[in-house]
Amino acid sequence: MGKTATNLPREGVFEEAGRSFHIRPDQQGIAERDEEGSGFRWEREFGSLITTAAATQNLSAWGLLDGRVFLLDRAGAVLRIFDPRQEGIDSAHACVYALALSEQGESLAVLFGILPQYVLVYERKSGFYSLSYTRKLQGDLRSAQSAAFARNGRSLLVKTADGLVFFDRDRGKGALLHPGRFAGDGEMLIEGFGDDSFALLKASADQRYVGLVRHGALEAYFPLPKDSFGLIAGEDSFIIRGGERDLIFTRGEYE
Amino acid sequence: MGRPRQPGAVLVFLVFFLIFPLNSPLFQAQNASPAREEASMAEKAISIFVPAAGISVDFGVPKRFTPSGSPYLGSGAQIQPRTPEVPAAGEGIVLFSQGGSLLSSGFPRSRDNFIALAHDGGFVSLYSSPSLALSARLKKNGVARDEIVGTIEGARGGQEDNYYLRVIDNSSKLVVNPALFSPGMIDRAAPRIEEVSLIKEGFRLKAEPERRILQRLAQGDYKLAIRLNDPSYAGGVVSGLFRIKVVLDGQVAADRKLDSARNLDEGLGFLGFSAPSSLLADRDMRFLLDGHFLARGNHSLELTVYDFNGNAGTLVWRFIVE
Repeated sequence: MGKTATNLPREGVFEEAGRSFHIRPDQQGIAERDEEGSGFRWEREFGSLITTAAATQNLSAWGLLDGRVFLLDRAGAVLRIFDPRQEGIDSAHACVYALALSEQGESLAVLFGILPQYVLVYERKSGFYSLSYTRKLQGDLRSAQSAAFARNGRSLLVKTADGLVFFDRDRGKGALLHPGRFAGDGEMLIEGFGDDSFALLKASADQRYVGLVRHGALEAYFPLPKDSFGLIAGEDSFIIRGGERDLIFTRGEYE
Repeated sequence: MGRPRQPGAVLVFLVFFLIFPLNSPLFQAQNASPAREEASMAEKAISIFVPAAGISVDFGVPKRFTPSGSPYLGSGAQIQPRTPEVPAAGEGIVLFSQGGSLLSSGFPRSRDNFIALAHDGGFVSLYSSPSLALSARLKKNGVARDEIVGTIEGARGGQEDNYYLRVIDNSSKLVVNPALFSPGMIDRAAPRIEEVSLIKEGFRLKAEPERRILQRLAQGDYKLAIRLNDPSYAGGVVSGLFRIKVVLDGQVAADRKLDSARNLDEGLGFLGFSAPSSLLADRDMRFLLDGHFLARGNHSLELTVYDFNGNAGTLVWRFIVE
């Protein structure tokens, strides 16, 4: 699904996949706007603070401070509650720092816990989700991070303290991409671009970089104006939002 | 009608007894009296302290979620520090922070920035404010008690001078009333009962106990709807509503405490009721308590509400069921 410039986040409103969720001031409740935008389809309260979220057209996933992930259907009903501790994932403290949902909801990725922190991938087979990939990280990050599945759902890219974790679902294997360049707590935005690629925007101190990852390889990486602050990816192009102007990248050229 | 006992409730009550004056009315209302030594152990195990000055506890207080208008219950305390610095409630490590991003995308903040510290025993203290910024000097794996975890940068006198504090017991899946961790808090202003009503399927009878002629209603199942207010005492201290006791015809019909809320799959469960918290309040910000069948005859309802410091407000209402 293509995004427009109006999709950049507004305070208190989480917008993704054409859906709009209002967040309660205590960040423990949400209400989804109906399609007309005049009322609400449903509301839900959580027993813990929402730390991150992901949504597709028919699903939404909500990560909590207590380490659980709630997967909800289009009507806001609970489909599954993921608790990595119940599956033997052992961290000193539970918390969810990043979530990614594949377009059809067959995969869910979670950046979970501290001391240590893990990248986890759950996959749905015969209607049931099971943990299919676990990567224990050396370092950990304590704030919400960016993660995304490619639009074809076959691969995943997650920002971690160790660097960019790339996971190939077909091979069932993960890899760390350019840890020297991407490790640490610098901010990053990641979005699926095209069918099998990822666009990324990195912020470190007063510098900004844009990158393109395809099939697990960093194909492009170069600096951007310092006022770059947002990333909106579509099927054929992606936009870097800037303070003075936006940059539009289309398959190797930009205008 | 007591609330279901939770594993963590024992620990919470130990702390409660330790910090609550032994001769207070609220203490006299408790059923157990744990040994002093056990309480001291609990204090060492938790070691969380909430500021006693400039505190306004809203735990269990109905609020409105705009724009939907649905009610929910508060779960913490607003604190106005003397300086724009937010101290750690106890020794711990940084668990989560949100806010101050250079980039703008993905999951947005609600209204506030957040900092969460993890403490021993599964406890978490959660700080939030629209302007809260994580201290750059903070060592994420070693935060000392009273160390500055962040700053709030609003103009004095504005909303942003405050920060909101919640205390969570993750091991027992509870959100705990922060008043339990503020032993020095002084509040001598009694809570006010602003409204008591009996409601049934769209019908509402508002109590008017000062009327000479007794009010009448039809036999049936009714819920009790009450609107409460705990006014501030010197320095703006509000210890918060803590206990609601209902005596119907001389029998205790409800005696519930706002000591903690359970973290349930459907949300927060206050006062021993099921979640979400919106079930416990209506859109007019009234508490909705247990339903009772009222048979024909004369009835007497006595409602007493206590704040955390034991100040009480009482209302007695006599009515006739036909």
